Amino acid sequence: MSWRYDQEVLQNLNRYTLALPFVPTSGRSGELLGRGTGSSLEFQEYRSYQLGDDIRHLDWAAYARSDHLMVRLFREEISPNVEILVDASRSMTTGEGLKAKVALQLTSLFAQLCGRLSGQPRIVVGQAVRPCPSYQLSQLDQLSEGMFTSSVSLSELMQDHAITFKSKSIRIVISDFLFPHDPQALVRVLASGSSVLWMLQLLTRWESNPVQSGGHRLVDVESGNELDLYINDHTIAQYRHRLQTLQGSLRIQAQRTHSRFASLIVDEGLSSLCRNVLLPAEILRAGE
Amino acid sequence: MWGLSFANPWGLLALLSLPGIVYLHMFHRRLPRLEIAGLHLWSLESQPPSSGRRREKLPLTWSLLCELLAALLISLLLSQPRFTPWDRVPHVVVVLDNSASMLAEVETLSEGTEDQQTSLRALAIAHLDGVMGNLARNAQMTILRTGRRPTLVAGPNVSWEEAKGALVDWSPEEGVHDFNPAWDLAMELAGDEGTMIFLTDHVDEEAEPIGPKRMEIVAVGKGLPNLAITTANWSFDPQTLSGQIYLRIKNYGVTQASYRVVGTTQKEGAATLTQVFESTETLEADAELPLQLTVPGGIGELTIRLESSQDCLPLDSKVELIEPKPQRLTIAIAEGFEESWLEIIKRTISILPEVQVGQLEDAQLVIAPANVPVVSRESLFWLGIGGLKPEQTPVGLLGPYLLEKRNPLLDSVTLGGVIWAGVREPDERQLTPLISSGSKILFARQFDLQTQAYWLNIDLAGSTLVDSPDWPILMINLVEACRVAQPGLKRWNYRNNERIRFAIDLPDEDSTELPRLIGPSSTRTLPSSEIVELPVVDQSGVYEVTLGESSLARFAVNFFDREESDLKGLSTGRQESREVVDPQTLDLSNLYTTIIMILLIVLVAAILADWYVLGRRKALGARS
Repeated sequence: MSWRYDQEVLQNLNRYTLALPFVPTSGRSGELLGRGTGSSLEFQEYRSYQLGDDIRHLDWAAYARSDHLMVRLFREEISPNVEILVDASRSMTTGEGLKAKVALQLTSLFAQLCGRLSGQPRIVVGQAVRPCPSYQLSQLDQLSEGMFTSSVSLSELMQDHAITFKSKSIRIVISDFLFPHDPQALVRVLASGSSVLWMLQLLTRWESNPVQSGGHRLVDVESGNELDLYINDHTIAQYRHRLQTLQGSLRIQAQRTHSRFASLIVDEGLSSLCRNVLLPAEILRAGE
Repeated sequence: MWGLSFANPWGLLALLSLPGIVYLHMFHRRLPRLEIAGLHLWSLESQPPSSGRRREKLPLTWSLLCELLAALLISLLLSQPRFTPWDRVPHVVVVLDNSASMLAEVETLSEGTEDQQTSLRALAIAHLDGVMGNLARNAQMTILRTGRRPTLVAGPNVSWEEAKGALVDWSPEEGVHDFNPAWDLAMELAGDEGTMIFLTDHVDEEAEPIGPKRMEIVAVGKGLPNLAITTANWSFDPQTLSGQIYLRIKNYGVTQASYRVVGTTQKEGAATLTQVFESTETLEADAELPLQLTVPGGIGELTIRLESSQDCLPLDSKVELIEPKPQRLTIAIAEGFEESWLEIIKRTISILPEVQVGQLEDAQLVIAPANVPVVSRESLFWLGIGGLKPEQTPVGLLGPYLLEKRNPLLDSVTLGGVIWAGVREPDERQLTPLISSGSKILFARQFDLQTQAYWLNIDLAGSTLVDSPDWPILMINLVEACRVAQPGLKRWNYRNNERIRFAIDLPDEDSTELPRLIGPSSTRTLPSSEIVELPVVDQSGVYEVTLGESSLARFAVNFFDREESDLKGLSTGRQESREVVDPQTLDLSNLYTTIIMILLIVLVAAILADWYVLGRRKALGARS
């Protein structure tokens, strides 16, 4: 299946753009305004002419008024340096594959939105290989639902340095974050050296809001561990408390690192998620 | 108010599955798998680390409730619940056809592949088992068997378990008889609420219904071939000291049949049987063949068996015969008769069977002139002939004669056209007239003596009685009565249901020991009397009357009944009762069916609900 031409992806591709921050970031010349001065049309400030400055930026009117060579500085235009990290662990296969599907749709959407900004997105798949494989925008079709086979969590991959990020890149992490980890340590590592970090937590509706279903033998698809449990109000309340604690910790750590954290219920579908979650969370922006 | 009982209480053992189900749910042995992500978020902090199974508070799930309900319903169905009013116990009165044909053997298909022989009697009991199995556990029954005198086999009002034990001894060996006495007794025992079932071996479903309206008739028979010994007799000739066996063998089948007749005896002290004779023949359908066989004397007892592949009734194919031991009756002629009379008397004695002339001391019958004093002795017969008062002038009579027909001595005596001469008046002795004419006593019995004394008031030479057929008849009757009165058997081989009567010689009058009748399957005590009169004996075999250690008589009873031996007309069928037992009585079968249907529906619903609940869990697990 081609995730590039997924119908839902294409629909949302035309509706949204990446909500990149107004704070200048680093990157090659492009549509994104950088921190430094550049060749964009947006005026930034004046300064005295120095040797080597482009004489095309001399403000002749100011020179006529003051006999002082002044150079107009324009804001630098850069291309976004986007890295999309997809959690490829088995835990992403729950919900009858819906979680994996939405993860790939989001990956495709973000990658193509980045491409429209003349960026060269890098897609890193968190599989249990060293180093983790990465893909370019042109290789988008190589992603498939069958790649979610890893039994190693993102936390372990980061600790093992199986994933490396470029400095000052925009990092989008797509995972369910349902693996044992320390949110503070994980977010710190993910955010380290990044210009922007977006953490998207994908959950099924049942994972987000389980219902009473009697006794079950719970089997962790990732670790294979089992737990006989009667799913009633009490156990559900405990589960919700732990999940909310996890999400709260991730959200706090995101705030501390100027990152963003959003929890998405995959059952709602990509369009709904974009409209109701990613747009309010300022991860996407309505297209012009 | 309704009571609940169980036809098969063993089915309640299935209730043991209930704690099993609870155990499984409590220990989560059958928990469905649910694949999730983030198992650590579900772990209970308070959960003690254990390597084995955990016992938790029993979760009251729909699955548990449905499974418990299904197990409970299955237990109830297996135990076959019966609902009856508390104050009303079902009562079934069963009338068993006690005809010998119920012992006919039929081939039934066993659980395996081979055929198996079983009797109609066993089929009837099996049917009864099925009937009682469908009734409430507390159902009671009364079992009668038909016969000349209906007999209670089990009951009244006993459980089926108890009745089954009594039926083990039921052996139908009656000849043709009337069922009505048994049906009438069954009606009385059934009362207003009991149901009646008549189990027999044939019923004509097309014919007009028979029996009481409330009675259901069930026939378990089947048309069968049969060969039977219809007659068996053993006579002994003292002259040649040999015996003659007379047999008649009949083929009641519809095809030709071969048979083999074997006579065997067991010599005293010998362990094996000795074959006395053997005969092999072929009989056409419905043909009968007489056989006469000579056997040596002194055999004692003889067992005759008829063997044929077409024989389906063993009862009429075996005969036990006892060798007859005839004893001659001794007749003494007292002195004092006129010559002409003496000649007539001697001539009469010469034509009497099995008699001899002897001395007065040894005689069982004394013929004496009427005025000779009677000797008083038990079992002695005395016939006085002539006038008691010779001085009187005798008179002659032409009749009419009044005969005491009830007296066996006058059996077949008519005195038609007889001229009775020499009639005189009696003296003071106590007389009961047996033949009289007007006020004249012609033949009478004297009652004031131990001896059975008779007085024949006649002039033998002047009467025509001695020339008439009545005279030998009268004398033979007298001799036979005398013979019967003598101790010991007069016949040794009887047919079933024949009246058996003989005298025994009780040796000690002061003895308190009672004679006993030892039969093939039972022993009964007889009253202490010189005359043994046995009730109707319907069981074949050898019987013996004993007193203490000594044997007083030994005789055989055999089954001869042509109608019962003919098995062609047997059939399977049913005649429903034509009357509802009691309008207020619960229709057990209908209610039972209704309740069973409801239980089955609930059971299916419980199983489906359980399937739905478990399926829903699985779906939830898959979606997570």
